[in-house]
Amino acid sequence: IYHDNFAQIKAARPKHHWAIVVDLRKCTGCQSCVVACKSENNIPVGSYRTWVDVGQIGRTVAAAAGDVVTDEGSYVQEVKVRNIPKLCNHCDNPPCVTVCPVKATFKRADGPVLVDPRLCIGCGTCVNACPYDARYLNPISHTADKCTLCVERIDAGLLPACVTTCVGRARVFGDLLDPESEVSQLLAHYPVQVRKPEVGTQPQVFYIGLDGELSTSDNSASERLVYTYAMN
Amino acid sequence: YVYPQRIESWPGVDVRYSVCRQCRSDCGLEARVFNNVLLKLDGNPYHPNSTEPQLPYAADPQEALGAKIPHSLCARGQAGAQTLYDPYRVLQPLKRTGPRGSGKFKTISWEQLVEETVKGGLLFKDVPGEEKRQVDGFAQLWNQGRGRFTPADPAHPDMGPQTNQLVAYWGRAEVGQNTFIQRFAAAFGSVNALPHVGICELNHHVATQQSLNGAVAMLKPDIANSEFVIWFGAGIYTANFPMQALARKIAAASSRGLKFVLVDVSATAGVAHADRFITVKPGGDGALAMGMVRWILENHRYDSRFLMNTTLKAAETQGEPNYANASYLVISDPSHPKAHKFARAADVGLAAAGSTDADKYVVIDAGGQPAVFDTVDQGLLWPQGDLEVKPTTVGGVSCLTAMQILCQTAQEHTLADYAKLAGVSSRVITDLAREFTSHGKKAVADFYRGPAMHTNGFYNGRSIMTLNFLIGNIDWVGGYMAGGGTADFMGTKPTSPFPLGKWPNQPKGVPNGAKISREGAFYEKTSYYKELEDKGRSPFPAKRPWYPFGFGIWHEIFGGIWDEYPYPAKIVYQHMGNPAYSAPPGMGGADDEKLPWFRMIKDLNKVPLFITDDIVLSETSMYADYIVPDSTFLEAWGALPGFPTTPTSVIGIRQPVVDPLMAKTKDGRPMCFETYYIDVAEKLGMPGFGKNAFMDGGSLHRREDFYLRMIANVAYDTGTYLQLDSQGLPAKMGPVPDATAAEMKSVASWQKQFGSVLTEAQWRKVAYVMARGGRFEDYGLAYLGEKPGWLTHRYGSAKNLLQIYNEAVGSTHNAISGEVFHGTGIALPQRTMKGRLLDNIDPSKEFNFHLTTYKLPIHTQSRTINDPWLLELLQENFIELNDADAQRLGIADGDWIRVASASYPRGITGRARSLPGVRPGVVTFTNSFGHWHYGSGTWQVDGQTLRGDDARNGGVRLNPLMRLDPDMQDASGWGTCLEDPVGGGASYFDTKVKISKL
Repeated sequence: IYHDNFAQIKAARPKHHWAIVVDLRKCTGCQSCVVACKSENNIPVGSYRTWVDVGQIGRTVAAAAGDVVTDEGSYVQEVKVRNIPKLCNHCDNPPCVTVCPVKATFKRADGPVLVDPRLCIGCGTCVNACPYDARYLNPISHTADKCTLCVERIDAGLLPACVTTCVGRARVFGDLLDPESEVSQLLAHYPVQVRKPEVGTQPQVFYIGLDGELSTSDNSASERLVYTYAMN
Repeated sequence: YVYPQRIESWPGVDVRYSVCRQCRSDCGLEARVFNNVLLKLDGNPYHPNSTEPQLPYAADPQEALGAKIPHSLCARGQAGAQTLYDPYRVLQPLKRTGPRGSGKFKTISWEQLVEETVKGGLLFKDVPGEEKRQVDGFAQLWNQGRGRFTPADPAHPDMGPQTNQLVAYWGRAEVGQNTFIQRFAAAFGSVNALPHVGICELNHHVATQQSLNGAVAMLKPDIANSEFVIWFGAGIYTANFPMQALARKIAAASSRGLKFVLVDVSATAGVAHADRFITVKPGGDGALAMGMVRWILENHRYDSRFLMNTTLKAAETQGEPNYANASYLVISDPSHPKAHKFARAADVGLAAAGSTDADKYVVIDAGGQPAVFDTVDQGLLWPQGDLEVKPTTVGGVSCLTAMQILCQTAQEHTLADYAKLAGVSSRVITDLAREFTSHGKKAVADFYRGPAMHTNGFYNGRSIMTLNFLIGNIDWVGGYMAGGGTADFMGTKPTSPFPLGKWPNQPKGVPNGAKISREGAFYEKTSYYKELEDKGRSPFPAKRPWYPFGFGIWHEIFGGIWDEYPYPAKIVYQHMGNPAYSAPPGMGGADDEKLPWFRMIKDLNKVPLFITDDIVLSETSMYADYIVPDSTFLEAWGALPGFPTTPTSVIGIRQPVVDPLMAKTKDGRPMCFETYYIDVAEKLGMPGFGKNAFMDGGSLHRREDFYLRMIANVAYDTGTYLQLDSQGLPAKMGPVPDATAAEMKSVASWQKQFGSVLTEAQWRKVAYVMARGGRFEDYGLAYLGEKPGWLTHRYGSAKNLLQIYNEAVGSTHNAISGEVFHGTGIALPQRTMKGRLLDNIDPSKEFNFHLTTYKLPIHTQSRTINDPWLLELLQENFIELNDADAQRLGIADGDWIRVASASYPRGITGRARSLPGVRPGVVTFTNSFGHWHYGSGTWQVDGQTLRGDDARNGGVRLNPLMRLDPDMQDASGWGTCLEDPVGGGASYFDTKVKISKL
């Protein structure tokens, strides 16, 4: 396990490099992964290790030749629906790990970024350090908590719970060291994006079809989140 | 470092397959159970709803346990564990101790529950005002068996016996449980065992059935192979059938190149992947479809080669798997006694009356001569020339082909008018029509609740179905499909071990008469009609509508009870329903006892005894006289067929995955509605229950006596399930193989408790089924039709035809207005029961918004708000309107607004949210919110006040605003919702409202 010097992981020749590809062409925004994670990992109500932002983007424009015709006039409804699953990116350069004062959090050689709750003092430094809001303080254990890639399941040869139950099959889990794996094949054949590449964290959750994020959109008036966060 | 958490393969964790019921999709469940505690729910890897491709049916269940393939279950399905463990479950029988709706109950014993409801008497003598109220129980209606033969109304004996005064209805009861309720009602002598379809998608089913053979209620696109699909008002990605398989297949297909269009009134989740999203005026779908029909006809983009075939044989010669009645002649002379019916050979002098050909249809052959339909392969669509709609006179009778009537109807409006009626540009109609007819058989126009649940819903659906007929896409790979069918679970075939629809000592002709909802019966055939006709008076309007084509019409059950038409109700039994909250529109939906449903249920004369089963104290069971504690789906049995979305045969088996939480009877049976029915029946000595209840002589004392037999029927089904034979061709599978010793564990606990129900040999078959959670045809069997491009399982293979014109519909009257229905698709505006235009009644100047609803993928109607995992995703809903409308009205997100309608002028307030996906002029909200009970609020049991979780009451529900039909309101103001006069379904989307900012 690694608390820093993550660049050395490659040299240690780990057996696997687990990753997730999220194919947004297939995400239906159904929230099944969100509930599966809670069910599998016993997450307290109010906290999430994964979530799916579902939102509408766009606006209605009055236009003489619009396809929408009412008694008042005609319009064009410029509307897109975006479903974006989010989770810990299990970064290859995880800032949340390096900031831990007690080395409770670490990166495993095969990819997962984890927290040892026995060592965690609940200071919250890692929660603040994550650029993706992927960590939270567990209100019951008062320790830092986050997606584990269902590490106990993947070690037993199962899929992470969110992947097992993905209704649209948008979440694909696999080993990037295996060129035949579905994740390797997807990365080889499709352009992929990661969240906030500019912060240099090297995320290991890859998105197909991510073109601008809901939560970082400049025009907050034109986006409407349907789930996860109540409207203020 | 290994993360210290148990995984699902931990020793001691049992896997039990069952079937979900968090919505009606019936996905296969894989339940993990430890020490009789449910840990987690996943999808069953054998079940095609959850898994694609699903495991081969022969795969060893051991292999399924570690399946490294996704086997999904949706959010609400997984949260079903929280429905089971809801802390506010009702686990003991309850009896009302205050007035109905007071929320005052006491716990009673099972024996008291059965005794009192059977014997009747002064049951509520301790309730103020009811001291002297004599209540009839089951025994009074049964009258030692004579009630089945005593007319409820001697003046109208065709309405049936007094036992019909038991009115049993349900919200959700599927195959298994619904057949159990039907069995009880039938043995008791009541025709009133009624589902809830009228508040659901009824007009979709009726439109589909009356376009097809009268029975098949749903087709679905073969999504995997389609090139172009239009979904009109269908909740893909959020609901529909089955939600998971539909969503998964669409997501996969569209990522590979399927083009699809969503036509709706607000953007739903599916817009994420749609190629085009079109908003129409609510109810304008039929105008859009008929505009497309007109364009397709006039541009000759229909498949005339297909439509001219007169018989299945002729069609098959041309490589077509089915045929249509497009060329059949219809008697168009309105003064002819058989006007609107298909001409028969004897009607037009082509055959002598009484001859074998007398009743056969007539077509015009290629030479322009009339012919008996099965003597020629093709009939002309346009006997008078291309697109010419002039009648042809045959044997002195003027006739039109079905196709001519369709064309005549389509030409009632110009494309520009259709566009106006639909609220779109003309370009939308021509674009869609051109694209739809550019993919051969690989295009589909599908629809669901959106177009259907309007006053013009039947015709909207009929028009959309017609689009498919014009390209002849049914039964084709990539076309519109009927699905793989299902097992003969009721054992209707001679090879089945248990004919469950029969029982010893059931008198012939029981039950009989008219249903209280007057569904499934033609008004024209009733004594009410004949009486008036004999007196020379107009039979119209009838007191209430009659619905020969519809079924499960809740609002007409309640209307029938209120008007005591055709007879008064005595005992109302409700299974798993919540009309006070969920429906019908305008009759309930808020804690307001002025609404019609509450007025009805509080009327002790109209509803003398109201018994419900329930799992919590819902908005409705708060009004019950007696509450029977019931099982959740995780404690229940059932056999659940698949949907046409799956091209292979499917039946899932539901079994209790944990020991039921409800209290047990003295002899150890769980308290639930089946046990209650059994005990009532045994007390009365009804046939079909107790000793000698089955044709095999077995008894029905425990629910498992019934359901285990049903599963045996599934295991022994010989007709539906195919497998590949030694030559790689599909062949009938016959009964399932015997279970291995390891597979026998799937029934070990059941065999221990109920061993004598089945023989050892039957247990081995049943175990094979239970070890896999049902019976599933293998994935690869979907596309092996006899001819290239044909699906394996086809609608046409039962000699079914497609009805461009439907003579039964085309010659039936609206029982209120007396108007004759239309036999083809047609674009009609929204109207009242007497045919008055709603636009004239609620003028757009004042009521300038149109109210609709939609579904989220995380909820199902009234019964999922108690799941914390779902509730935390969205604690409240909003009143949603278009962003431009909001801006115009100065409404910002989060503002409180009031929405009011003509029939609910006080209105309802809620918080607004503007969305660019809502059509301008539309206001909408998602259902499932706005509860006031269902484990929330307060109630009293045994004098103690109990308090529920009020977090369940967030958000808003606008159902009370929905329009009551002004033509159907009585002097007291009591009324029913707007309804479709053909299908009978409730109108959810036709109410005009006004909005004001608070």
